[in-house]
This record gives sequence, structure tokens and C-alpha cells, in this order.
Amino acid sequence: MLKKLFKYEWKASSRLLLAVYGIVILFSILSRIFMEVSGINGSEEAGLPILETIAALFLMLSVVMLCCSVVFTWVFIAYRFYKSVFTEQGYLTNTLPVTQQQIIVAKGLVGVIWQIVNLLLVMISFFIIAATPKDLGMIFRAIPDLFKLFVNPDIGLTMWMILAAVILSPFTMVMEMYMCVAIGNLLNGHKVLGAVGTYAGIYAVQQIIAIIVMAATSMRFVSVDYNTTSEQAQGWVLNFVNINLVMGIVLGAILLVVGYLVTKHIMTKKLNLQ
Amino acid sequence: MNAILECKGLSKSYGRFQALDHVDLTLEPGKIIGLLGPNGSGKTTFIKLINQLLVPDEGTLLIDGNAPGVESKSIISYLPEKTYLDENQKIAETLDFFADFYDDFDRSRAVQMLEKLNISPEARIKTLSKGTKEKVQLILVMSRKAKLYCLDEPIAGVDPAARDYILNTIINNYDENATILISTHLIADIENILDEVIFIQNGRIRLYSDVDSIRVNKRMSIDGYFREVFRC
Amino acid sequence: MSWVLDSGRPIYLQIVERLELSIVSGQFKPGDKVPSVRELAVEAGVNPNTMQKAMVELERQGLVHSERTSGRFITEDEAMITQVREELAKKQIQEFMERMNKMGFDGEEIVTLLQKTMREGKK
Repeated sequence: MLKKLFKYEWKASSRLLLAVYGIVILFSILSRIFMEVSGINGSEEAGLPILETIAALFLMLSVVMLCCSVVFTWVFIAYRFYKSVFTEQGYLTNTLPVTQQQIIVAKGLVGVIWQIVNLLLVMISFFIIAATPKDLGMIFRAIPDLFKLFVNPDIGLTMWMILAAVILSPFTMVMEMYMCVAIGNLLNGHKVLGAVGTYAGIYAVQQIIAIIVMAATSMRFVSVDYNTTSEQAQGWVLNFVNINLVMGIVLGAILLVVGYLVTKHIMTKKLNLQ
Repeated sequence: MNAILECKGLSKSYGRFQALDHVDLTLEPGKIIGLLGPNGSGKTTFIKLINQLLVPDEGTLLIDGNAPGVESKSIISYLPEKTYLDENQKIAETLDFFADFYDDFDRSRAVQMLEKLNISPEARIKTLSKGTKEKVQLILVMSRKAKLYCLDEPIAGVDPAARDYILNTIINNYDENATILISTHLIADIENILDEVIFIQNGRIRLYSDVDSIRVNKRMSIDGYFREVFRC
Repeated sequence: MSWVLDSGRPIYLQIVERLELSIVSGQFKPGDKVPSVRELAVEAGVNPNTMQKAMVELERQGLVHSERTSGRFITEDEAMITQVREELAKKQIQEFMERMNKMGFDGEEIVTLLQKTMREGKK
């Protein structure tokens, strides 16, 4: 059943998202073409000024679209969950012979995958717009060095934690949004507003915690003076980064679990379909 | 025979409003049962509890021996008052969806009924009129070979031709071993197809009887008797 | 819904009466196959259970008999059909007589009036 839920969620979300991503790619390609033609990116002969203007315009549009696609992906993942579980469609979704857990997991996984696809889209778009064969070669040559960092005795741990944080973040993101949507459903009107408000509240709390942790862990930098060796300073910075990473991962994991539990509880016990 | 539905002391309130008040009820399979009551009497609440869209505050509810859950959902075919289909799907996709999730869904039967109404499987749900959407939904619900059908106000707000279509579709697809629970406040329109009736008022069961005993004992139609019982 | 049924009386009894009428009037011929319960139920706009109940009643009377696999058939016993036909007629006449009696007509008067009405009807 999980597979089937996943299949239909994927189908239902892919039409619009793929269209949006397609447009982003198209704009990236057009920007690149105009940039090449106008010679804006530093080729020998200067092109026509009008072409340069067009190229700049497309470049700007591409970046705007790219940003929009990121926001749109987030909003769309939350909207899909809201629409299919808490509106009239919920009468069907919630009476399918599946568990609430299966619904959350199937939809959530689709959401995570779209976040990853979106990340790839951003990277691909940048390459399309700006990358030259030389850049690509450099990047490929840098990859082995990147892997070496993971076994580096000084920053290996940090690298692993960064990796963990990166992997965790889309999961947390999706479940956090699901929880907000589910809490919004408890209201008898303005359910969407309720969801947005909840999100804003959680975001504010997250920021406050982050600031407190950062402030607490950066106290030591106050004592930096001429006697501090560069090794010491480096150690402190690394320490600061590590502590904040740990806090980020722990908070993210907590938010993931709490988000899941709250969402499941509301879907099971407090469904409020009108 | 085992009861298809059994509830004891079933209660549900919304804040201070007591929507269902200690309902005891046992329904045997193989009947078409009318759940009759004025607006706000608890009909929809009862049906939502059966379908696990609500959780009772108190009491127990068993469907074919199981508490509401995956098991019960696989044997209940539910027609809510709302149009619950994904508007962006084509009819054919909706058929796939039902076939995928419900083992008892008879796709060919649904296709046949859609053909009779000249509804193309390639049509997107959002292009259909409200009345057609409702018919499509009824077709989907009645194309399942479920043990319990819960039809919430299936004929509210439809014209006489549509009403006849709906009643015919119900009769045509009714399997003698199944139970159909139809909630409505339009009794005269529906009483000829009922075996039994439940009168519900202010969240309590006023009466549960087979229709012919009412007709013989009270010398009245169900509609007439209902009006007498619920006279303001 | 094509059958006019009175919701104030048990539906199955009305169906029995109606089918009896179809049989004695020759609408269903002796030995004819009876449409399936479902078909009849849809035609009448009633629940298949109710139609089934009516069929059982007709079977009990002997007007209809069921073959294990091939369905239900109208009895071929024409004497029985004639008998039911007469019974139905008698019932009608009795009800008619009762009403006439209430209006104060006695037997003789009723017969005279009947003959007069029939003569007028023919003109």
C-alpha cells in the first residue's frame, strides 16, 4: 500500500513541479545563449548593446525563477498535504484502507525527493548559466580532495556532521511543514493562515535557539588577543562550528520526530474535515 | 449471523454540543437501512465515526467485528456529501486509483455505468459539472463489492431525474449480503427501497424498526410516521 | 419509478397484488419466465429484498415456481390461475358490495343499477 500511495502522490505532484522546473531550465538555457551571443561573459569582441541588455534581463529572470522554484517547491509540498488530507479530498484519503503512518511516510518521501530534485535543479541551472568546460574540469578534479576531507583528522568529524545535517534537513523541513498544516487543520476556519502562523512561530523559536547557542559558544572569541596562536584560534573556530552543527542536527532530529508524532496524532484523533 | 455494525454507548461531542449521546445499535447484514433524522441530529457524525474520520469520546464501535481501522476501511464503501475526488485526475486515473486501493472494486462495472452516462474516461474531473461529479462518485462507490455501504445524503439537492438515477444505481448494484446505510432527511423519496429505518434525534436513537412493522402497526408511511414522531 | 406504490402499506404485499394481476390478466403467460428479482426491483423502484419477499409469497401461493438454476416461472396450472383470478374478482366485488351497502343499496338494487350502468356504457 505504501508503494501505491507513493505512486499516486508522485504522479499528482509531478505534473506541476516538472512544468515549473522545465521553465527554469528553459530560462537558464536562454540566458546562456544570449550571454554567448552578446559576449557579455568576456569574449573578445563586444556584441550589440541590445543583446547585452537582453542577456542581463534573462540572467536576472533566471535567478528570480530559480529562487521562486525553491519557494514554490516548499509551498507546494505543504499544499499537497493540506489539500489531500485536510480538505474535501481528505474524505477519500483518510478512508483508504491504509494507516495514517503510511500516508505521512508516502507523501513525506515524495516531498523529500522533490526537495532533492529542486537542489539538483539549482545546481544544474548554475552550470547551464555559468559553467565553462574549464570550471567543470576543476570541479571534477576537486572531488577526490573533498572526499579526503572526510578522513582528515582535524575536520573529518565536521565534514561528516555537515553531511548528516544536509541529509537530515529535507526530512525535517517536510515534517515541520506537515505538522504546521496539521495544526492549522485544528482551526475551524483560516486553516491555511493557521498553518502559516504555526510555521512562523516555530521558525522564530528556532532562530532564538540558534542565536542563543551561537552567542554562548562564541563567548570564547572575546578572549582572542595577541597571545592567541593561530592553532588555538583554528581549534576554537572548529569547536564553535562543531557545537553549532551538533545543536542543528539534534534540533532537526527532534523537530522531525515531534513533527511526525504531532501530525500522526492529529490525523488519527483530531481530524477536522468540514 | 454476525453483526456488520455494533456500537455500545457511542458518544461524540464538539465542545459543548453533544452530537451523539450513548448510542447502542446492532445492524445485521443484508439490509438497506435508512438513517433518518432532521438536520443536526447526528447522522453525519455517526457515519464519520464509522469511517474513522472522527474518534468517539466514549463507547465502542465494531464493524464486522473490528474496531475502525485498515480492516474496516477495506470493507466499507463510503459516499460522503462532499466531492472528494482529485480534480486534476482523469476519470481513467481515478478508476486506476480505486482499483489499486480497493480489492473489491469492479472496474468493468464502473466503466459500464460511465459509458451509459456518456462520460469519457479521458475527461478530467474538474471539467465535469457538479451533478456529474456526484454521479461519478456514486458509480465508484457502488462499483465496490463492499460489505457495508455508507451513503451520506445521496439525494439531497438533486433533481427528480437524478434522484431516480441514484436510487436505480443503488438497487442495481446492491448485493443481497451487503448492508447499505443511507442517511437522509428526504424520507418519502427513499422509503420504498428501505428494509429498516433508524430514527435519530439530538444524537439519540429514537426508533430502530423494520419498515413493514411501522406500516402495519401504525397504518402510515414511514414519511408520515417520521413527521408524527418529529413533530415540532 | 414506474410502479405506483402506496408507502402506507407493506410494499411487498402491493407487489404481490400487482404481480397476481399481471398473471391473471395474461400479461405473464403460464410457463413464462419471470424476470430476475433485480430487474423487477429496479423496474418497481424497490429494494431487491422486498421483491424477493414478494416472490417467496407468490411461490407459497403456487403462482410461481423456481427452477434451481434457470430462474422462476409462472405456473402452468391454468386451473389455479383461473381460481386466483376469481378470488381477486370476488374480493373486488365484496368490497364494492360493502360500499354500496353503506350507501343503502340492497342486492337487487345493485344488480339493477349495474345492468343500467353497463347498458349506458355501451351506447
